[in-house]
Amino acid sequence: MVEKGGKIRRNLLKGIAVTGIAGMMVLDRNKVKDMLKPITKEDLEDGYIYTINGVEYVISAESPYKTPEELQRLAKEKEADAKRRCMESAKEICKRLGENSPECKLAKKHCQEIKVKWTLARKGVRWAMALDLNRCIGCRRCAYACVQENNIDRTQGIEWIKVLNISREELELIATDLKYTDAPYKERVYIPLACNQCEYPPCTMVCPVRATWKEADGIIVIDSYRCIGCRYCITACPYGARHLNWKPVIVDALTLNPNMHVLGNVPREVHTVEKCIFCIQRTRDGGTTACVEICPVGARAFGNLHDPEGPIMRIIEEYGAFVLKPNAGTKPRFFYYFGPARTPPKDAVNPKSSNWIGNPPRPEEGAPGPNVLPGGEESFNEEKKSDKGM
Amino acid sequence: MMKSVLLATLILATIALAYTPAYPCTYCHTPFLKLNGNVRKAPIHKIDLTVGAHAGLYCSNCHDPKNPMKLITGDIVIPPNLASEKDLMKYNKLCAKCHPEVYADYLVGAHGNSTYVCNGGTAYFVIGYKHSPWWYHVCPEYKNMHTVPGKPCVFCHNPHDPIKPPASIMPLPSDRPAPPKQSAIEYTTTFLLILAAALSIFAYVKK
Ligand code: SF4
Repeated sequence: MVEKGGKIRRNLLKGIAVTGIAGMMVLDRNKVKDMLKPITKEDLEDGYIYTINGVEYVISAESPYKTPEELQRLAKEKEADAKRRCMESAKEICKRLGENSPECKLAKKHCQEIKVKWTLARKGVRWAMALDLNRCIGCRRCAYACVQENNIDRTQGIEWIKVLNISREELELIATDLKYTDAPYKERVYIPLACNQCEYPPCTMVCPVRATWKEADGIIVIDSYRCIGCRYCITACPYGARHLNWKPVIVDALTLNPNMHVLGNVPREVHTVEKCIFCIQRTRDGGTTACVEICPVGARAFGNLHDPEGPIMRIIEEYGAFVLKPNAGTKPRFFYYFGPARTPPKDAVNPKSSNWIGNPPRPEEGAPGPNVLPGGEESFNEEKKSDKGM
Repeated sequence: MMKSVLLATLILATIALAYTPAYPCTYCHTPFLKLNGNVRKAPIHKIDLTVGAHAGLYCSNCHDPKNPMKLITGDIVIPPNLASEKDLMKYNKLCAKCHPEVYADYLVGAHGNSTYVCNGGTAYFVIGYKHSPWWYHVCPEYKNMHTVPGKPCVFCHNPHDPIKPPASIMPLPSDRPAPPKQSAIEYTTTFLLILAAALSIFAYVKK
C-alpha cells in the first residue's frame, strides 16, 4: 500500500514536470509575464459597471444604492424635498417683502431652477487636488466660495475649508493660528485644509449605518437620508474635515445654488454630518471646483490623478508633493507642494511692486552693493544714452 | 469775452491731448520717428523697466519698434480698458515665449485659474457670504460642462510689472457656538442617572 502510494505520487510529479516543460515551450512568454504582474488595488476594487450612452460608469461596491435606478429615485425624492424647503423660504421672503418685490420673484425662480443630478462616477477616474503653499496667501476666499457653492447653512458657523496659519520654519500643525487678521507674512505658511479624500478613509469604516462610503472615483460621499448623526466619523477623521448640522438646516431661496448632486450639496437634514465632496455636482459633469475657480492667486489645481496629461500628474512630476499626516496611513489625495514662485508677502519693502523677489532696490549710483543685478551698471549707462537719443 | 473762452478751450484741449494716452499708438509713433525700441523707461507711458520682475527687458523685446501698437507675435495691442477677454487671451502666446513652463502649467490647469463653461449658460459674479466673491453659474442642464483656463495672463499680471501683489484678506472664520457649561452637563447627567435608577427600582418593586 505504502509502495503503491509512493509510486502514484512519483508518477504524478513526473506528469506535472512534463506538463510544466511542455507548457513553457508552448506558452507565449509575454502571456506568462502578464500572468505574473501583481494585482493592484484598483483591479481588486470591484464595483458595478454600467454603460450609459457609450460611457462606462461605476457604482462602488460599498454604496448602498446598487443600481442607477435606485439613485435616480433617491435624487427625485431629494429634489422634491429641496424644492419644498426652498418654496417655504421663498414664501417667507414674499411675506416679508411683499408679493411684487423683485426678491420674491427671484426666490421663486431660484426654487424652480433646482436640479438634483445623480451623475455616476466615470470609470478609471480618481479625482485629486494639489495646492501650492508658496502661492496661497491665506485669503480665505476658497472657504467662503465653498459655503455658497455647497449650500452650507450660514447660521451654524460651518465652513468646510479651514485655512491654517503655521510657521514656515517649523511646519508644526499643533501651533496653528486660525484667527489671523493679516496675511501673508514672510515667515508664515497658509495651509487651506478640507477633506483629503483619503484612499483608505477611516471615517467610512466606522459608520454603523453605511451612510458614508468611497465612490468609485475616490470621492467620499455622505447620504444625509441615511446618516443618523452618531458622529463616529467626526472622531475618526484625522483632518477634522467633518462637521455636524446640530440644528435644522436653513435653506435660503435667494442664495441657493440650484446645481445639486444627490450625494453632494443637496440641502442636508438636521443632525447629519457633512464635509467637502470635491464639488461633485460640478466635477463629475466636467467642471472644476469652486475653490479652484475663485482662488485669486491660482494656488489650487484639480484633476484626474490617473490622467498623465492632467494637472495633478504634471505638478507631482514637476514640483513634487507631500500630504498631511502621512503617518496616519490614510493615503490622502490632496497634495500640497511648494511651487517655484512665491506670492510677495506683506512685509516686503515695497509690497505693491515685484522688487522684493531676488530683485532688491537698486543701490545708489556709484555704490554697487552685493545686490546689483548682472549687468546692472551697464543698463544704467544705456538708459542715459537712450534717454538722450529720444 | 468770446476770445477768452476760445483761448481757454484751446489751452484745455492742448493739455488734455498732451495727457491722454494717445491711441492708436501710430498717432505719435509715426514711421518717420525712427525708434529702435532700445529703451527701458517711457515716462510718458508710466513704464519703467529698470525695476520690477521684468527689469532688464527693452520695449522692443515685446513690441515691434517700428509700430509699438504691434507685438512681436503680430497681435495688435489694445488698451486694457477697451479689450475684451478674448483679445487679451491672444497675448498669452507672447508670455509663453519666455515662460514656456508656466504656460504649460496654465494650459493643463496646473496654474490654478480655471473655470467651467456650459452650453447656453452664463456665469455672473456675486458678492455673497461674508462679502466674499463667487461665480454664480446658470446652466440649463448642468451637464457636459468644460473646464477651461479662466483668465488671460495679463488679467492678473501687469505685463510691465508682472508679479501679482497679494489680494485682501477675507474676514475671520465663524465660530461654532460654545458648548454648554461643564457643570450643567454634569448636573443633567447625574439627574438622569438617578431618574433611571429610580425607575428601575420602581419597576422592580411593582412587579
Ligand atoms: S483662495 Fe487661494 S490664496 Fe486664498 S486661502 Fe484659498 S487657496 Fe489660499
